Amino acid sequence: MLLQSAASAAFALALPAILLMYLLKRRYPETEIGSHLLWRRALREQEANRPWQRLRRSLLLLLQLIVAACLVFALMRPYIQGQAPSAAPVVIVVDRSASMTAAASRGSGEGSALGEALRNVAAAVEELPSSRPVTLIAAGAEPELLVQDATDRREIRRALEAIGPFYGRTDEEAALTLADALTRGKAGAELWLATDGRFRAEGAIPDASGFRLFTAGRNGANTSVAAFGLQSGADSHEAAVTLIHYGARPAEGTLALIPAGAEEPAAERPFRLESGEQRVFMIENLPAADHYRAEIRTADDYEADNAAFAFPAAAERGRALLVGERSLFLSAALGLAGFDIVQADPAGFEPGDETAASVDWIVLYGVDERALDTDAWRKLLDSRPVWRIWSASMPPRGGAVAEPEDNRADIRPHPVTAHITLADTHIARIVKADPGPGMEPIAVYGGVPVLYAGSADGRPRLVLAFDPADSDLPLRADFPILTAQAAEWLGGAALGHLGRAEAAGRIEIGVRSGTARAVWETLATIPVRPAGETATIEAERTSDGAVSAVQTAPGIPGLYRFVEYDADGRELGARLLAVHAAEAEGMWTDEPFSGIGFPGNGGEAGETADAASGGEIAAPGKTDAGSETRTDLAPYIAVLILLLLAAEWEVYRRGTAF
Amino acid sequence: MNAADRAGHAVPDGGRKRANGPLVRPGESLLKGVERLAVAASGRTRGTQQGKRRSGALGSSLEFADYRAYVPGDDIRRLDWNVYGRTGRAYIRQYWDEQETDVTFYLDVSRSMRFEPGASDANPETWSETNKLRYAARIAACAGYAALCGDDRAAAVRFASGVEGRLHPVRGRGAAHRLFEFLEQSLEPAADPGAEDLRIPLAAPGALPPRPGVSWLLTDGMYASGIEETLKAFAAARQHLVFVHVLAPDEWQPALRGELRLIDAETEAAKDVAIHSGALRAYDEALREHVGAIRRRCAELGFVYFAVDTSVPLEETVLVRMARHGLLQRQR
Repeated sequence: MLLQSAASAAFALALPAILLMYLLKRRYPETEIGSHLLWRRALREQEANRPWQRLRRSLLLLLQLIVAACLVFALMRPYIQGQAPSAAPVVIVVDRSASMTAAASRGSGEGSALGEALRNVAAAVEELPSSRPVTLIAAGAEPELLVQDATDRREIRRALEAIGPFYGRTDEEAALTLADALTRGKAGAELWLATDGRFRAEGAIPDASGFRLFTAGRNGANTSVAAFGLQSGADSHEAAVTLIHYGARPAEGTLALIPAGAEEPAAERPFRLESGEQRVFMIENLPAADHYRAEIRTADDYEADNAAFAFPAAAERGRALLVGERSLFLSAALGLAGFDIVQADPAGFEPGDETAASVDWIVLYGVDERALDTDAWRKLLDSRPVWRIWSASMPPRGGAVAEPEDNRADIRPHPVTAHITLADTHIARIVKADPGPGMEPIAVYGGVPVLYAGSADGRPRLVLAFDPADSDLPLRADFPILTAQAAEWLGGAALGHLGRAEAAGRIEIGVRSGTARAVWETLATIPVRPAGETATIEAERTSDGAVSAVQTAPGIPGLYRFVEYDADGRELGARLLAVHAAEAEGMWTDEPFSGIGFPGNGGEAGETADAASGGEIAAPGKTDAGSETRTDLAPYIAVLILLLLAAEWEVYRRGTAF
Repeated sequence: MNAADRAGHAVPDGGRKRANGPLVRPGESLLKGVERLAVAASGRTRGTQQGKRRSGALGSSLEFADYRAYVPGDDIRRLDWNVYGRTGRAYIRQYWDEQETDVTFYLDVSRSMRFEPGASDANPETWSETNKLRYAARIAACAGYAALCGDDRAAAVRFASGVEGRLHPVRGRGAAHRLFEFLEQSLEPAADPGAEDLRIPLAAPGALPPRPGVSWLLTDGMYASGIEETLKAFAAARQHLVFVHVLAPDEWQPALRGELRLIDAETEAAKDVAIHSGALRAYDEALREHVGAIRRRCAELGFVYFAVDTSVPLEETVLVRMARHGLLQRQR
């Protein structure tokens, strides 16, 4: 028999209190008798040590003492450990959130709390009878059912060994809910939870018949690079780094800013942070670099937030080369879409290599392409996406001007036509011509195609088959939308970097047009991975094989480059993404286990937290429950107390003594 | 009042007069039974008047004692002429003398004798048949009546912590009412609660009878000390003592239970006692020891010890038990 709350033995002080009350009791019924003589002689022994003698054989007192002792015993919450049914399932929930990568408890010999927890769980699994099925759930963004109802110990061990940390936002509650669903209604089912206690799950822990907690990690200190920003000046950068310290004692260390490709820091700042202090460091005159790594060198227990990456905000806007007559509407719409216009007159302009390098894409507006039939123009037009706008006044070769039969518009799904209806738009003249190979009509007006999209040599091509001046389209709301979507499709929307994202978080990426394949290239990770692991990660694709615009950020904190390739394997562009671990994981403001509602009463959680606040959480043996089923003795004690009360009543009825 | 008692206490309901001794005076049927009895006395008594007791002296009874030679001056009516005829010598026939004996009743009227649970000490009217003092007084009345009927002299002394009153020896059946009256008065409330030591009332000078005789000591024996010495004093006063130990039924066998504060009726001292089977056993043992000590002492001194339970009907106690015990005998 074991006790869950041995401290309640202090209530045993009630027993001497009852004794004392009996001793102090003075109210005896007065009875007159003829003479004391014989009683004096009879009770000479009682006279000798009077107060104690009175207690002798006072059954009422005896019963009360037994009742009080039973109550104290019940308060100590005794239980009998019985063998669980041999086929009762065991569901193991492993918390693998980023905080589990923090240091293991002292003396455990493991590098991280996760390793410690997994080792303890593995040891406990070995002790299970082989007939008990084991289900293994890893907590992540969504609970991951690694092994279900497995009895093969090797399989379980392999699955345990394969569990790595998850740096994204971890939903422990979902994992526990799943575990609850798996244990519910199964006799003797047990729930094991391996965690460092750094999550909030109020009342979430299901009340399985057996609950066993594998604590790991220590109640240590963490200094976090909470934010890191880089502002680019004329020829130098300015950095702002925010540090936060969580821990009982002040932290001291050095903040280093390391430019891309360098080993030595470009700037260093010593720091001393009080408990809970948050401070911003401004560092100016940093040499220009693609990106910077801000790193703190201090003794803390959680490494994943000790470094952060930043890159200068992309200041430049996209540039489009507008060849042809000047159009106020088009210039304004492109300017709204975030593009600078470079106006070129085909008659007096011969593009060079600088031109090709300085513009992202080209608009040909009402230009007779025969005038552009030079090598320089051909080269430029082949190397850049082109948007042709035909004009009825100057139709392309073989083109004919047609008038739409009616004003019904037929819009086909395409990124360029996403929010376009052409409703109520009047188009006077439309040029009918061959748009070239690979071009598909994506909008038809009055039976005549008005918009073609396609690609040539891997470059997107777009054709608008009417002059906006021949319609009232520029007056419609569709026009700036059409222009912006066309510009985005042609020029690739985000020319700047991808910014920051949480590990394994979902991010939206404007994929460049013509991208056939994209990969994540790992530039650096926190903590630093062995070289072999810094592989590239293939980007996600949609169901039709295109690179998806919504990507999952890489799972390990660090700096990544999103590289896009066209169908021929040519690199279209690369953008940087700084991935950080879920921020909540590093906020060590509360003590471990303080935010978790354990089954039964809350006192248990408090006790555990108390143990943790001492600095160490004992490693393997420190589990809150046995591996077998517990039979709580409290109901039996209650029955015993009732029987005793009945006996006491009987004694009272018959008289206090016998 | 139970049926047996009513039989032994056949007093009309209207006649509850103190003068008639309704509480003490035995019923007529009991008196009739007692009439034929006499108080036993051990050995030969020496009284001052003619009585029915065989005296230690030679006298004028019909009981032959001895012969002795005639000396001049002897009553020639006592000369045994047959012996003279055969032998020619004159012998005088001698007879035992018959004298009366003094029977003194010592009635303990201390508060422990008066005490009766649920009744008032001060009001004997509320007492039941089992009241010790009343019972003792009635025994004394019966035995005293028997003594008076047997031509003995009866005296009575009531005592608490001192001699409270005394009835000087009376003689003859006609004096019975004086005895009854005295006993009746003994029941009246007294301020004196009684003493812890029996010597205090009875070893006082003049407390014991000056002449040899029979003494009945009617008490509950609730004296912490002095019983033994008092018995010796009676022996020294050449008294043949009958120790009538009167105890109420709940003294023989207490019906108390639980944790009680016992109040002594005499001293009014309080005592907290948890009464359980063990305590009752201890009481029984103490009682047995107390009774045994008195009985032993009485036996050593040639006295009679007679224990009385007041729950036993008086008739049975007097007519059956006392007679069986030899305290009251048939008259010759």
